[in-house]
Order: sequence, then C-alpha cells, then structure tokens
Amino acid sequence: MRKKVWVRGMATLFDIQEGFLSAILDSQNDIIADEILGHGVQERLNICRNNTFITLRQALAQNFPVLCRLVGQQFFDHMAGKYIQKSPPTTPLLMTYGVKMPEFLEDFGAVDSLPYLADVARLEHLWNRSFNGPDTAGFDLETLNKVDPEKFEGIIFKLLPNMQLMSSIYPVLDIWFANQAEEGASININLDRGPCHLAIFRKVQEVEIMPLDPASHIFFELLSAGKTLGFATEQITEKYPAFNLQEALQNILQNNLIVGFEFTK
Amino acid sequence: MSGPLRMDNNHLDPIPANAGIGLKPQHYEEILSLGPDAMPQIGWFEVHTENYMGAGGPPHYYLEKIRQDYPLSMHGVGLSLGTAEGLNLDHLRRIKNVVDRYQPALVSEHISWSIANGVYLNDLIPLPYTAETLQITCEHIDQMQNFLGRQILVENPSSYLLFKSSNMEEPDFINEILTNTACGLLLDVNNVYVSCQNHGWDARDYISRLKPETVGEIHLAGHSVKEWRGQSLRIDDHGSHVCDEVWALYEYTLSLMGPKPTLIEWDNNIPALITLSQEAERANILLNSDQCAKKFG
Repeated sequence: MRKKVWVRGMATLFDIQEGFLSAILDSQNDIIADEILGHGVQERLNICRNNTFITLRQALAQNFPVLCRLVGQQFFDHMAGKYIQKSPPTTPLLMTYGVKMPEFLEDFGAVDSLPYLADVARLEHLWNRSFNGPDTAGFDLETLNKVDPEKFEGIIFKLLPNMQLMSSIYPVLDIWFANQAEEGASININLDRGPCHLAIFRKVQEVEIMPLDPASHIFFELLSAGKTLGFATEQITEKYPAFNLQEALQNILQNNLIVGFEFTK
Repeated sequence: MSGPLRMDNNHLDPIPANAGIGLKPQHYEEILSLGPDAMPQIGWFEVHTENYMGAGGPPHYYLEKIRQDYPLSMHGVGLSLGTAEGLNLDHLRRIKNVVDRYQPALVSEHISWSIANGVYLNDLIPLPYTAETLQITCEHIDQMQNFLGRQILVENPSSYLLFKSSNMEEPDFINEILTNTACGLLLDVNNVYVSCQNHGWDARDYISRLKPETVGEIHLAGHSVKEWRGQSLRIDDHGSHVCDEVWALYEYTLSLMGPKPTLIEWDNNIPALITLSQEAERANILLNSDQCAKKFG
C-alpha cells in the first residue's frame, strides 16, 4: 500500500477510506490514526481490523469446511488471515469467496507436506459453485426418443448448468468423503491410488459428486463446451479406442444430467 | 431526485407494525413445518440481501416457500452507500435482481462504508460527518432508489470511533439525509445505545431528535462489551439477547414514535427458533402495550 501524508483537516473522504484500508489490511495505523478522535485510537482500529478478519475467516471456513478440518481450526485461521491479506474480497458476494485459494495453497510453503490440499480446495470451490449455480427444469427423455437416429451425430446436449468438472492426481473424492463423517472417525486414504476425475452437480437441492473414468471425463468436457455428439465421440476414440458411447450416453441419461438438446446448424 | 418514487412500498404485502426475525438457514425446515399459525409471535422475516444473490440453489428454494406465507424485508450489507469511489454497479444490479424476484415490502441499507480501492472489508465502518460525506451518501441513496424504482430505508450505524473532521452530530447528519433524499430510516435502537455508550452521548436525546414519520422499521439486537484500560467499549455483534437497557430505550422510542415493524436481529451464535420467537414476543408486548397503542392507535 502506498504511503500517504496529508495535512490534518484536509483529508477527503477518499483519503480517509484509503488510509483505513491500509490500517485494516496492512496494520498501517499511522496513516489514519491522526484522523481519529480521542484516546485509544489503536484499540479502536483493532476492533475494525478484527471485524474484517474474523468475519472473512468465517466466510472462508464456511466455503472450505473440509480444508478447515484437514488443517485444524487454529492453522486454518492463520492461513485464512494470510489469504485475506493477499486476496481480499473484491465483491460483497462472499458465497464464493476464496476462488484463488487453490493457487494460494500451492504457493503456501507451510503446507508443502500436504500437496493435495489445493485440489481439495478446488473441489470445495466447485461444490460451492454448483450449490449456488442455476437451478434446472426437468427434461423429458421421450423427446429424445423421437429424434431420427441419423441426426444423432449432430446433437448438442445441454448438461446441467451448474455442473462443474475437475481432475486431480490425488484421490480428493476419498479425502472429501472421509471428512464428511463424524469428527474422530478413522480415516484411511491411499494417496497413491492414482488420479481421479469428477463431475460435481446439483439436480434439485443436494450437490452430488460423481467419479468419472478418464474417457468419460473428456466426453463430459466436450459436451460442456457445446460440441456435437459426433465430434466428441471422434475425439475420444482417437485417444481411448475402447470408449463405449452407448455406456457413456446411458450414464448421462439415466442420471438425468442433461436438461435439453439442440442440433448443429 | 429524478422520477417519481412511491414513498410507501406497502402496496405489496406490507410489513405489519409487529415483530419479525432474521431468517437463518438452520431454521428453514422448522419454519416450514410449523407454519405461520403455530408461530403467531413472528409476523415477518428479514434476510440479508447478499445471501440470496446466487443463481439458484437451496437458499432460493426455501425463501420462495417462506415468502408465500410471510411478508419480507431485504436488508443489504454490501453496497457501501458511503464509499468515496462510486457505487459498485454490478452489486446494485444484483440487488435489483433479488428485489424484483421477491418483491419485499422493505429494502434497506446502511449509513456507513465498506469498500475502498475496490476492496470489500465486510464491516459497516462509520463515516466522518461532513458536508462532503453527506453529499456523497445522498447521491448514492438517490442512485439506489432510482435504480430500484422504490424507496429504501437506511440504518443508523453503531460505532466505536469518531473522525476529527466530523462537524455534524450523528442525528443531524441522519436528518439531513432524510431531508435530502426520499428515503426512510431504519432505526437500530441497539446501535444508538452502543454508539451513545461508546461516545458518551445521550441515547434518549439522540432518539428524540429523529422524526417519527421517517422511521419505517426498528432493529433490536444484542451486543458485547469489551473491557479495556478500565473502560468498556460496546461491540455490536448480534450474538446474544437484547439487553435490558436496550429494551428500555426501545420502550422510550415507541412512546415517541408509536408502533413500528421491529426486527430481532441475531446473526452470530444463532439460537433455537423458539428463543428468537420469545424475543419477538417481548417486542410484541411492548408494541401492543397501552402506552404505545393509546397514544398512536
């Protein structure tokens, strides 16, 4: 924060608010202290700083409950404080505050020994986006039965609009599930289990997390990007010749993951 | 002020002059299963506008249902009406979206600021009371009311610090805002008490200087006390029962202003629904007391 000096009584509202920001985020009380009346100015500013940090830490703990449980409340508070200083919210919408948490954790030396934390944070952020994402109207599978099979290649499926996709080299779903259990339950995770691919979505109220095989993950990604069924199939079979389109389609339809379809023009 | 504004928004499911409580996710199911007849103490609900700004999801599912049975007030905490850098227009649009969707009888914000250099500090920070601040705040209130096409209420702050540059007393600053814009006042009696205790002001004098006809809603909440160097500072944390001194000040307020919609605000350490409904009942008893009703009924 750049340091600013002004003559007392000449400070504009803009100056005062900028000085206050330095006091709260960077503990630079001296810039603003002279503008505040009475004794105990430092204590009064500390109350402001506490209000900001305590409530933002609470917002982060709410958005990253598994992360919080993995590192413990005390360390989480310390880490969250550093995060708030580095990436303070730029919008009053705190329901998805912490979008940069995965990158922050990758660079946060103190958690080097827990390399999977960043992906756990990624999963929690996507869970949150799905929770708060758009709702969906039901889809009648019968409309699909009426489609001429020759036109299937050109079909573009619309997946659930709140669907999120991610991959990790760590078993983050196992970690996530283990940490939904009662505190104190024994947790046994094999970190060498290999990568996992996940679809995170919400049909009605509950957010669901579905593990995907690598080919299906690409299939979901291509459909999400608005590619036709024909194009998606071609792309995947190049890499995964054993890809079973029939099975992949059944998976999508039986799990009610599509909300509509259209045809390429 | 450009364009006509409806001064009363009570064309839609008005908020009655009785007690309401803040709506919290942990009470959604219980409220729906009990139904309004089982909870006559609670006349309406208030929500934080920001909590319903997601595109979809369970918060909307529950609010849609509860809205069918109760009048609603939307109380924003994030617009930062007193910011020197202009309102966040994205946020103003978000407010309009939820207000259009739920058609609340009351929409409110705060006489404070929380955004500087584009950073949101998630706290309602007091303003210096100067002509410059007054002008900025009034312009933003006008902007918000015009954008929403309706009247808003603004809430008096709680504070534990004052600025040297202030050359107006807080009730006068508030009255100037009410005179210069078509907005109303959300009178937070706990905030008045907290600020007056912290600054050595007279709470009854503060309240008596406000104009009863401008007050559209009252807030009551609990606060905590922080001891420091043999002095106590009161912190407005909405985490406990309304204290006896604030109840007494509320009674005094009603004696001057008559019954007003009154919210029990409890945002931290949220108790069981029954506790909130008991606090609401305590407010209802005062709202319906002979002293309050005789004078204004």
